[in-house]
Amino acid sequence: MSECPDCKCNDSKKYFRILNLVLDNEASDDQRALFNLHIKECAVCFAHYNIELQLRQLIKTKVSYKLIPEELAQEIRSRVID
Amino acid sequence: MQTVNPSIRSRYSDVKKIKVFENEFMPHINSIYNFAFKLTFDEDEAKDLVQDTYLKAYRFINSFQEGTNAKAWLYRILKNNFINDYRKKNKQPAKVDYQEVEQFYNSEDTPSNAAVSLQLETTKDMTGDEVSNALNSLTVDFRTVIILCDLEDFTYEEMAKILDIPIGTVRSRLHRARNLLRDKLSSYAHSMGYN
Repeated sequence: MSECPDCKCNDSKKYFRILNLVLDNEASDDQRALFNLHIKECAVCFAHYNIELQLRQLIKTKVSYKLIPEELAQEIRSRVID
Repeated sequence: MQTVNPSIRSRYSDVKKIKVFENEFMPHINSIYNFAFKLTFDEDEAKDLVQDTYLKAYRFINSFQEGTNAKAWLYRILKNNFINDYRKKNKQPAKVDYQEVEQFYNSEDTPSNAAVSLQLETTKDMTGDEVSNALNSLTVDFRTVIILCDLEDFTYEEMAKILDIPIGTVRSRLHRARNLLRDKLSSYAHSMGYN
């Protein structure tokens, strides 16, 4: 994977690194702009971007959220006040 | 908490303490409980963990600067409580060898082959339980970074502080955790005939 077979860039490692930063909202404006430009030209990086995006969306939308038992918050409040 | 510089330590009156507790800590109790449950998989243990976390937060409230990141602060307390008390109590292995795994793969900059094999079509019909089960099957350290990043939207920097690890380790652990999760989802989707 040292060379991207689609656009022949030798920087695929760099783009995969930036890909995660972009999706995790950790990329700088420059990195984001560079990456957006790159995936317009590189189908391989674009495909990986979509797969990574899909995984994050799957986690966000489908992992269940455990609701707190109603009495717990009140229990904690009364223990603090006492 | 204990490392806060005493010179910048807040001093709250009793009335103010209650106000800070109610306004800054209590709004996060649902996500704190959810995190506790996802660490322990047990309602009673999760309740104890949340209760201990909030009582400790109140006890150390003078170390908390009003208006700073209360959620991250509470998560850090909870994580420390979990490691100190619950892992020992349950006699779980002290530490998974994820660092060794991370060094071996050291793969943050490259995609895994599994990434290619998991297509959108294979997972869109999966239920919440199926995705949750895949997440829950990860070791606690990998599960934790995914919860913090993808469910709770903490930044890398916040995660580094909560977990007491360098940002580089956050990134590599997160990358490895997602690869493992993708592997599990992918093989589960295949076995269930989703594709």
